[in-house]
Amino acid sequence: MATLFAFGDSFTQGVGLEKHVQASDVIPSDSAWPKITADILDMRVSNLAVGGHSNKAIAYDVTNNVHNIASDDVVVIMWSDGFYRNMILTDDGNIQFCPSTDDENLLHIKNFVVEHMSSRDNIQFDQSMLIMGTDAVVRQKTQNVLHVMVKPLEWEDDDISGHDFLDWQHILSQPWIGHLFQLDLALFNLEITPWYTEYDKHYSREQHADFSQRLSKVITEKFLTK
Amino acid sequence: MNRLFTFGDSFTHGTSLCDDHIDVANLDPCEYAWPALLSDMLDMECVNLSKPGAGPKELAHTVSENASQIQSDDIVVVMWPYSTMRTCVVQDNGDIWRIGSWCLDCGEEPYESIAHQYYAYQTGKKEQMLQTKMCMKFADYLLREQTQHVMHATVNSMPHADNHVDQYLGKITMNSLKSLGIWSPLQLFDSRISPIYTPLDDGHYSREQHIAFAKRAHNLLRRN
Repeated sequence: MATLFAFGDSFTQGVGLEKHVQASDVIPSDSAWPKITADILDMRVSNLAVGGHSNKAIAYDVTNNVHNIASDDVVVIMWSDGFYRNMILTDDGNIQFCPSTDDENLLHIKNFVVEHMSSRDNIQFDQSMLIMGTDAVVRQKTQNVLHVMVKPLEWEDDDISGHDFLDWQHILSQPWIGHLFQLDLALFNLEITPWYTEYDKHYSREQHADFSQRLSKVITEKFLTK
Repeated sequence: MNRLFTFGDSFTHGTSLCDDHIDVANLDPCEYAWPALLSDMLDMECVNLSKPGAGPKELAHTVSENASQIQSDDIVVVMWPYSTMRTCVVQDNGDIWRIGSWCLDCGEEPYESIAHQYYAYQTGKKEQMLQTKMCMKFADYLLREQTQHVMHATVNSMPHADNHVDQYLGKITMNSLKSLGIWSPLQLFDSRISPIYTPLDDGHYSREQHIAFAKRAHNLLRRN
């Protein structure tokens, strides 16, 4: 039986879908889209998403787990849109932070990165390199790779601080990256209610169920009917 | 006429290979460097896009800026620097801030502060491995969209790279990147060739090393 590998941040882990699923516990929810999609497709699931992970951390998650992926497995990477979120890998553990961190031990690093390394074009280049590099790493193992986003391109969430987020259009404006994405697939669907979970502003079970239906159709058409 | 595109750092630019090529700012690549030699052997036009001082990220950025010029019958050789301990920041005005060990005592802000922060926090082995992997995969991906004639090489042979005295250099061996599957068994440095260095400095390889590399690269390209 093939495995559906899912990588991403809290939206893929399923934070907020159940009271006990916390980003810090790294336990995925059975109500999150990876498990629902795998059940629809009669596949095993390996949900390796971690809440709060930046795209760099997601790339690291993929490179760390790529040896487990076989040629008939399917890999779905749901990239985060928290482009200003960052991570520094240390040899004894990760340093995670984003501009909203209040960890005093990380403030000087955060300030340095925000002040000197967060020009829009630098972020655009770094993010594009991470996404394309990760795609190439996965394709050494399987051609069944999908890249998706949490939110559709045309939808903006007024509740999210503009400081932490950069428009996906800016990332996708480079000619060599747009074709990697399944642009018509995003976890959030304006027509599905409720939008959010009862615990926080992560998307609801209904959103996850709807996305899983749409995703499973795409996976079937692209990879499983060949 | 088909073209040979080359990307790399000072070793590809030909720094110190001739008397007037020590201060490399704004200079054209040296005619004694391996790209010019190799293109002569291949009877191809040479487009040497190397940048002295560039690290893997700047090299990947240079590839992204120039890949669209490359045609399907062109050949590309990417000579990755032995020092992964360099990076750059792409500014919104198009400028590139280059961060290398030479910035640590350059006395010019913000570069000196940035360099100290970078070396303090972002040069662990895992961090460098991830960054370098992403740079190499990204560059290879872009190039193979244009042509399948892509060869990757590195400046140093592995044992030699670890002998460099700079405290920040040589920590990451390119050897471990062989797992990426885009490697070609070619290094510029060959311990059997002497002299090792140019007479003009003690860090860049000699004309003899460049000639030997060009011959090996030529043989490999002809076989493939």
